Amino acid sequence: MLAVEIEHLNVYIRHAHILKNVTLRIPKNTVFVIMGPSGSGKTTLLKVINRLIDFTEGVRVEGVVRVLDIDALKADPYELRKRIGMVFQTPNPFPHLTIYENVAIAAKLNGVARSKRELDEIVRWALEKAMLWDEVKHRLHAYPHQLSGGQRQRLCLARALAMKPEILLLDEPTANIDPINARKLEEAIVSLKDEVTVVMVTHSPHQAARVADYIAVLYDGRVVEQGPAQQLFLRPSTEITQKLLRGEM
Amino acid sequence: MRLSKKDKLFLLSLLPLATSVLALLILIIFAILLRSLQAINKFGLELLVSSVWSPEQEIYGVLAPLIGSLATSVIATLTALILSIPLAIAASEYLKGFIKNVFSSLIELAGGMPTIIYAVWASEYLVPFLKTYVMEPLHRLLPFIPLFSCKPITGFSIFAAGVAIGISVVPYVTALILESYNSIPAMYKEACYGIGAYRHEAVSILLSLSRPAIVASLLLGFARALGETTIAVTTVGSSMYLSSCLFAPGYTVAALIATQFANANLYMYAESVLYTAALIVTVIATILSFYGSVIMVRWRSRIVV
Repeated sequence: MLAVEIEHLNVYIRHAHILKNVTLRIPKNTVFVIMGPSGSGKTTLLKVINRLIDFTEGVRVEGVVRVLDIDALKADPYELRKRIGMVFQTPNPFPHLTIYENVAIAAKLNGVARSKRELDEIVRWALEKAMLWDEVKHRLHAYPHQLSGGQRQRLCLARALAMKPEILLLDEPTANIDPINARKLEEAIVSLKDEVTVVMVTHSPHQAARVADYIAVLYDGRVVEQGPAQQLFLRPSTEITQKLLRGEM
Repeated sequence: MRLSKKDKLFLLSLLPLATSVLALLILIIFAILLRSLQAINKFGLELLVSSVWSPEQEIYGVLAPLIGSLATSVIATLTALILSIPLAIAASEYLKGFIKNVFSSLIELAGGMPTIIYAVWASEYLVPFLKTYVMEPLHRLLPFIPLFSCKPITGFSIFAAGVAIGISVVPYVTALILESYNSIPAMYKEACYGIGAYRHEAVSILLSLSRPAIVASLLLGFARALGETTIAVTTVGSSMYLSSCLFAPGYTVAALIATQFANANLYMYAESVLYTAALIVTVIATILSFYGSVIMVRWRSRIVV
């Protein structure tokens, strides 16, 4: 069963060829990690999956992108995004909403909760899943600026989970947070795969080793290698992958 | 950063002109204050609690114009709020390319139009329109509400002046709202779409995020409406009678000064009374502008992580 199936994907932004003939298969209920040096097109690839790429000016997308058995490039992007949560590189909780409201708003927008009680339960479940509940349960009505960077990022994870997505896109979620918070986030990610398919972008081979079931290596807009994580770590078949795994890139 | 010798010289050459503008502003306020003292000493608080303009008898009271200024500015601010937010949302979220440019140019053009154009248009077309389609129906339907209790006689009233001034400050308020809406970091827009929001839902989240900036824009708009003169003169009805009804003619401080200043020097205190009224409006407008700017700066620092 595939969550995402991409064939011969080409993305151009203005005149730059960002993604070049990308073909990928992301199985359901796995943690699929996309690795590559900065500027290799990782974020663009994620944004094609949930069509956030539509907001980029001068973009042209060609190829086949099937997400949850839907032709993602032809589907209504708003309906599509209701099934896909996303966490960004920089924590971006809404500063004018409380911790509770930040999580609840995602559930409300997607009609996940029918009553206040259900909403409370979902908020608690999402915060627990994001391993943040114990730290904020007594201050749910505080504002995000009172949290640390790492806590804010886990709040964003909770917000994405509260919409009960089938796919979760994570764009270098630990890039801007401290190692302890990064570990908590990784633990949360691994525990999630029974419920969602996680597609995560990272440039850290160590992180990939800790969380990935599958890995694709992206370099200069092309997929240079993809497969089960163990196999890729034990027998990397390209020089680019070897360099990337050694942290030389 | 250390300045080079040439930069220091250049800065020194700029300083006299740059500081002279600020000095002029302070001098203006000082002059207004100085010229008000005569009336303040003579009449004291009496000026603020009565509504009379009788220079021949040297009896004055500017309560009606003061209330008129505040009331027209409140109506103007509400009008600007109702018209500016849809305009700002349409311009920044829904219009694209050429149409967006035309739309933005039109807003700028409207902002740069001399107020005398608005004033003439308002007295010829807007006032009769409001009288027939807004004031009279409201008076017929809700005569028991004091604000609507009087029958609009000519249409020239606090209400009409407020709406007309409101329309004239729409471009200014829209520009302020647009500026703050567009300065919301892209990451919050992405956050909205990243959790499955439809476009109108994203707009509503981003609007609530920019609520303090909208309030600040309205405060600045209020301050500008307080000082609007030409439109007030042609639409407010110029009456010193203080009424609780919005459809009755009234006065604003700016209109009072514009219509009375030329002959005020013929009397002992008239000029000084006008300066006192101007001083009060200047103080209110300065406080509101300052407070609006503070809210805006605080908001900006909060949304940028």
